[in-house]
Amino acid sequence: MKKLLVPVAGGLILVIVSIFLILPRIKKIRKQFGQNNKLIEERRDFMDKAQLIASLNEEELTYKAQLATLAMPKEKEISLILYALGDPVRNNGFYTDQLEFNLGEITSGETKEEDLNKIKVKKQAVDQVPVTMRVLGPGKNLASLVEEMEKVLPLIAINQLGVAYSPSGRSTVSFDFHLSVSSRQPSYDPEKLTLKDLVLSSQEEDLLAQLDNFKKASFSSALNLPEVPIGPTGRENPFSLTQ
Amino acid sequence: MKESISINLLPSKSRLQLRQLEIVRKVNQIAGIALVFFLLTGVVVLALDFFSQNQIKKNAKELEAAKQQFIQFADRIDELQELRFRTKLVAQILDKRFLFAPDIKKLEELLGPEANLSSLTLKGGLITAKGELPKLAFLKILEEKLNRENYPVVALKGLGVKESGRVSFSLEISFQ
Repeated sequence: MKKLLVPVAGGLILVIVSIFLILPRIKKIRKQFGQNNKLIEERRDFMDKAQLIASLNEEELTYKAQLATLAMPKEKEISLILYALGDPVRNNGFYTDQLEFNLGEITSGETKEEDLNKIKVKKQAVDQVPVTMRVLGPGKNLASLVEEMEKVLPLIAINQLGVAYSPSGRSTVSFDFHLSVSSRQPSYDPEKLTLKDLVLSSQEEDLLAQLDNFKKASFSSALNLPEVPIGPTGRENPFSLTQ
Repeated sequence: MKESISINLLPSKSRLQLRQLEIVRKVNQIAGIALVFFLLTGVVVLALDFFSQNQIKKNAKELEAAKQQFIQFADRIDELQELRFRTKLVAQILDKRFLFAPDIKKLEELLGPEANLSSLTLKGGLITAKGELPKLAFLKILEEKLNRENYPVVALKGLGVKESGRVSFSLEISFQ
């Protein structure tokens, strides 16, 4: 039986070594393989994202960004409002009697905190600049005046409107509206952006197409807005002005 | 044809010793195989460990290169994210914005060209229009139009007929 001691002890040692050295090493290797796959996937993801971002039309992107900034300026640009409202007022035979900005009374918008595809829109991201305006002109053009005013960039939101008509058909229209401005920047981690985050959604494309149809010509030149025909691939060009 | 019969003629003690020797030999054989298997497994495990560690280093380098390639477009990424951020804000503004022009058009349609307004106010969807109609008949037409539709708010008040036959009115209405 003494002769069995060596192989049995050896076997036991092998079992112990297997349990304490080989098995943990195998676990480690499995983990390393998993880590490798993750690295490969991440690399592929970054390459795809780089390829996608490189394929974007830079001019089109800049135009769209300027359009969105025009719709909601970063600063309290009074000249933008003057430019924007000048055309509707003149086109409808009105003239501006009074225009008042209450820059000291900036109120915060009610924008709630939302995680919009990893772009955080923080609470009170939008400031509202109250504006009052009084225009005089033909009362019959009121609907057309208001319609044009509601289709200008930067966007204005009319809160209240009062009209006093004279027997001659002239009218005095008092507007109480606000201009929305936002100087906030999106906070995001570029490395955490997904492919989806680097593509405008169909809703965003539609909104930009809608904004492109708003009146902006008279002051786009003042802001050096390039007249670039833009349109997403794979469908009809919604930005085209000649349909 | 020869037939062989195995008959162990050894004494029982020697037979036991022989059997023990056979067991020892078999155990040694198994132990040897296990050792070889263990050594082979060890070599394979070490090789795999070495290989996967190298792969990690290589893939980490390539990932860093891909990241750098992506970060090269930081300006475009910023511009795009800024655009998406602003678009979302604009969407919220447009969503909340109350449009006055459609209501004014509806009011004009409702009152007709005969109505002479003296004042008009619009606030939060509620319209208050004051004015005159040339004849009582036009008031009847207006009443019929108001009755035909189911407006959420509608009040025709301050009615009066002047000597000239003109009818003064005050209309409070909401189309939404």
